[in-house]
Amino acid sequence: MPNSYFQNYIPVLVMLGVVAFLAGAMLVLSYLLGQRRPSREKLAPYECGITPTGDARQRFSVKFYLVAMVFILFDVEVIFLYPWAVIFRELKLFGFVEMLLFILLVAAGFAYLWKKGILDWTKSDSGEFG
Amino acid sequence: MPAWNLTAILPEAILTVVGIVVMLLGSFSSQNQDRGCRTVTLMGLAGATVAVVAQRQHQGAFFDGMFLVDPFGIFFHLLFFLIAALVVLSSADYLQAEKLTVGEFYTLLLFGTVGMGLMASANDLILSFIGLEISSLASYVLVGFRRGVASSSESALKYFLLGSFATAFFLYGIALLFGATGSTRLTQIQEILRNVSGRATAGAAGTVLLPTPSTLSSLAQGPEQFPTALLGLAASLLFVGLAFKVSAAPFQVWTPDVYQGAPTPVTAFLSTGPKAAAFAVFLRVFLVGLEQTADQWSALLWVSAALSMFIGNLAALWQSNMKRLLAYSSIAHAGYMLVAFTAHSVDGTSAVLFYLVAYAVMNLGAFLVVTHLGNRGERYVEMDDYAGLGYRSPLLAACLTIFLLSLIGIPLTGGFLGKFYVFRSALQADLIGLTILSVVNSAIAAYYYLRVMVAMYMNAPERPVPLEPVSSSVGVTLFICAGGTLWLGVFPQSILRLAENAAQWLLGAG
Repeated sequence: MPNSYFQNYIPVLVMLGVVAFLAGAMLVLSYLLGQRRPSREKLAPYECGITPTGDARQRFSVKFYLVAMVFILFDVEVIFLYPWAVIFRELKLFGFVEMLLFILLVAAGFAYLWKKGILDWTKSDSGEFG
Repeated sequence: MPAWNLTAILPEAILTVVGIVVMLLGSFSSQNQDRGCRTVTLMGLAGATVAVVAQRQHQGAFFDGMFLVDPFGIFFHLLFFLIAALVVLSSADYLQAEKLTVGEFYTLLLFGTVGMGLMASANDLILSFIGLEISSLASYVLVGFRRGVASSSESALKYFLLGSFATAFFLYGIALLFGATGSTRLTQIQEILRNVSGRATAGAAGTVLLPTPSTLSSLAQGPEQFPTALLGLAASLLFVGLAFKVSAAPFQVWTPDVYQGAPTPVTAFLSTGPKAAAFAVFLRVFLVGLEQTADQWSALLWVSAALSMFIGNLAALWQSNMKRLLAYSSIAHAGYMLVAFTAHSVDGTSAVLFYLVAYAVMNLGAFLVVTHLGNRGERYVEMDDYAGLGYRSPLLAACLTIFLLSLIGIPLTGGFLGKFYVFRSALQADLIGLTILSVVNSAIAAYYYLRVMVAMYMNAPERPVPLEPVSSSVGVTLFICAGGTLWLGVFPQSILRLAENAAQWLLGAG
């Protein structure tokens, strides 16, 4: 048993214990001390404060998956742009060209999906991906 | 200031750019883009090949030691480009008949090749992982390329789910290996483990002479404090991930279903390209990074090799579907390669490399015949459909016979010499039991390959099977595959020398 190695993880173990205790205490205490006056409104699922409308299990267009994928594409682009912008001056020309290449790659993907009609959400028969 | 070092990844860069160009070309140009896309793809592959050949003058470690340009990587790059080019040529008619989009198909093929190239040259496990993911993602989509066909979607889903699971194993293995050694660079891991075992044998727990990162100094105090259990666990997890990708037992279950449901040219690609790339990572990780633990992992490989051969060959005996039969045969062939891998020697490694080349040409050829005979919608892929082929199309039957003879391992074919080098290296490493098992398996395998030949030459057709005329691209590919199979069987020296050179470099360097 390599003690010195696993000793490093003791704080994590302590942390886990503290978390379990705290969360358990909160639940148990509120169960023991709290008053319960259930009403129809209170038992309804919480939807960001808006009155719930119908079941969540309904069919929706497969296009939303594409929208989500496109969103991730540009989300990742922005994630890379932020740290780059912070040290833009230090990276000089190298950083500029690298980012230019990266954006060009993303732009090629953008041009592709535009041409394929993925951004055309209202068209009923958008061909291949519809 | 980071260096540019573009020359090191020039082949990958060329293929990426060409892949994007083909993608845009396929979607922007109107009709008849097939030929244009194909030409651009083949030109890109040719350009990348030229770049690889030019790289022989600029070998070394690049990107802070993450990426190696060495004979081993160059060997695999050339093999991948050959496979990709043959798949491009052989898929032309198929894509047209199935009305599949050409641009995306070639783009994914090129991106997959980029990932495979990164895998072959990666000296850092993180880069291996990224390469593995690039090539896997491309393969997942390619497997499900016949979108309207249920079996294709089914196999894509199976491949995706199981593949992601296997990749997770691989990633976990990397994490644990990093935990044990403090590095993800294979050559660094090799050095660290050498030092640890060197101290263990010398019994002198004194000064630390490692050029290691500072994180390591706390746990590299002495061999008694080195987390050996962690290392073993890491090696096993890496083994699981990689054995899945080369479809070695007991992680072979996905292979028949995926190979059967995928479009046949994609099956041909999967069984040669990504498999060879996974073998490249396999060899690099275990022969370089985990070299010092060879005693432990060679037992693991021994069992896996024997199981793969038996499961593949015995299950193939009962198959009537040609794609399933070749899928099981592909499991068995992974087993043969693992036999040579188990030998853990220069000869064994070069035998694996030679076998991969021989297997690539003969298997691509066999799948091409299956593709061509399958006709539209892959309707004629049962063994009964091959009855009487020897009379209806003597040339096609002759080509398939060459490939099957090579898969059996009959002299004058590449498959024979591949097997010969495998068995020789296993014998030299005193793996007598394993060698006997592989010879027995070669005999079992002969039965089901011969069944196809018997059907072709001795049976009368039971139902009319239409036969399309052979187009020029299919003909050229068949000629290259058949010629290559025979050439490797008669004049193996040039390829063998390249393989030996690569193996020597891998085992001798670092």
